[in-house]
Amino acid sequence: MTTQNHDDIRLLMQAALDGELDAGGQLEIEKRIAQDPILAAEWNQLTALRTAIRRALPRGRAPLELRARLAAEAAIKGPRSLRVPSRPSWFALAASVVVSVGLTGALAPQFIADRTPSISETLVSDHMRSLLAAQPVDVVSTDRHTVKPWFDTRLAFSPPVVDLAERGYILVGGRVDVIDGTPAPTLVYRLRSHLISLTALPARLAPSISPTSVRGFSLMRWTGQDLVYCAVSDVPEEELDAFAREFQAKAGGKGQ
Amino acid sequence: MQGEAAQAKQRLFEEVIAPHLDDAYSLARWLTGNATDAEDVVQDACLRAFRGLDGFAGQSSRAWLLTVVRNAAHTWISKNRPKTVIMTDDLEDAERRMPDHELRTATPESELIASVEAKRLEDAVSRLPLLFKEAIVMREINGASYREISEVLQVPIGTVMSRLARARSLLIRSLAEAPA
Repeated sequence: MTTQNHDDIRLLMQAALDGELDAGGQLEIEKRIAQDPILAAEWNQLTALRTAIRRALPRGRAPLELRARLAAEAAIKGPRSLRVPSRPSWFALAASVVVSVGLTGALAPQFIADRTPSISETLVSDHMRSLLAAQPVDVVSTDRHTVKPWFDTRLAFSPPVVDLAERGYILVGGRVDVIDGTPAPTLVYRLRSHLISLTALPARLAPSISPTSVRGFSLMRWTGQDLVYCAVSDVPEEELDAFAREFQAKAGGKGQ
Repeated sequence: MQGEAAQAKQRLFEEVIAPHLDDAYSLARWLTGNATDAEDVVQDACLRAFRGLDGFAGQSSRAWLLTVVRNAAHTWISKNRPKTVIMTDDLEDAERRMPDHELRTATPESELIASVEAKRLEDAVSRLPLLFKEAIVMREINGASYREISEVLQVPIGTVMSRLARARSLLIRSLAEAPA
């Protein structure tokens, strides 16, 4: 095997390690590695390095003070101290952050984010808050015929409430979240030991919401009729994806 | 005045900056080598963006934020750590020279690599030449895709691959050396 050839394969090995090859390319490179002890040794080193970095060098968190300062600078109303940095006010802000960390413990990041949360962050925060509450829902019912009227009497719009029990998603009930200043109906389903919050919002908000992963929760969204649906959960993304498909199929079929 | 500019600024923060601030800070942390300067670099980059100096035009928001932070970090480095800046010519030469011979010489067993102390690995990454370091940090620590890295570095994906290959080869080799 020529050196040139080896060099090309080394580049492809990076792409294979990084999951950037298609299935065919991946199989091909795996075959080449299996046939060549030198490449196999290098491959083992590369995967060992990957393991070591993932274990030893986690991604850092941006300091809360930095986040708070930038939030304040971005806020339409709020302190304007950044243009001419004024240490004392930063310190005051930092101190208040420290106090809130002390008071609320695990909830502190949420508290800080609440200064100017995006819709996606609010959806994730609402889901997290529901997990901490005694009940993740305001109306407890596995019966969609109870949940749907409960929303209808309270809100200007409500999502189709579909029964997905046979697919493994048990309806737990519903609650009302407040998103972007508007009450929003939220359905809660249970998959194994995980909860999925499904919030319906007016379609005009769709551009402000993007699929995201925040603090271990994924947010997935899709639009249907005049609503945008946002599902939040800590199940793996592909499972949340599957839930979205099942819900859409069933909701579409019902035409509700 | 609560004009459109103010709203644009707030949206920029909520939808683009806030969700990726941990990634931005981590990149700055590795590029500057310390927490205080990383904060300054991220803050400078964001303030520039708030003033509308680095137009966000709806591309991948993470790639955009990493780009402005990386640019701010390079400015900081050329001011504060001028010796670490590598001339482009040297770099391209290094990229062309694939690390074949390096891998044939003493390299550690993969078990040893996998169980390396965090401190040693951190030092090894810190000592990488800047343009290899930023590629590997974006890939392994930010979890960026080749497309995102290529967007941030403004180089073709093939170059991203060769920089990653080189960065990994240098890391593996430096772990074979006796601990300092």
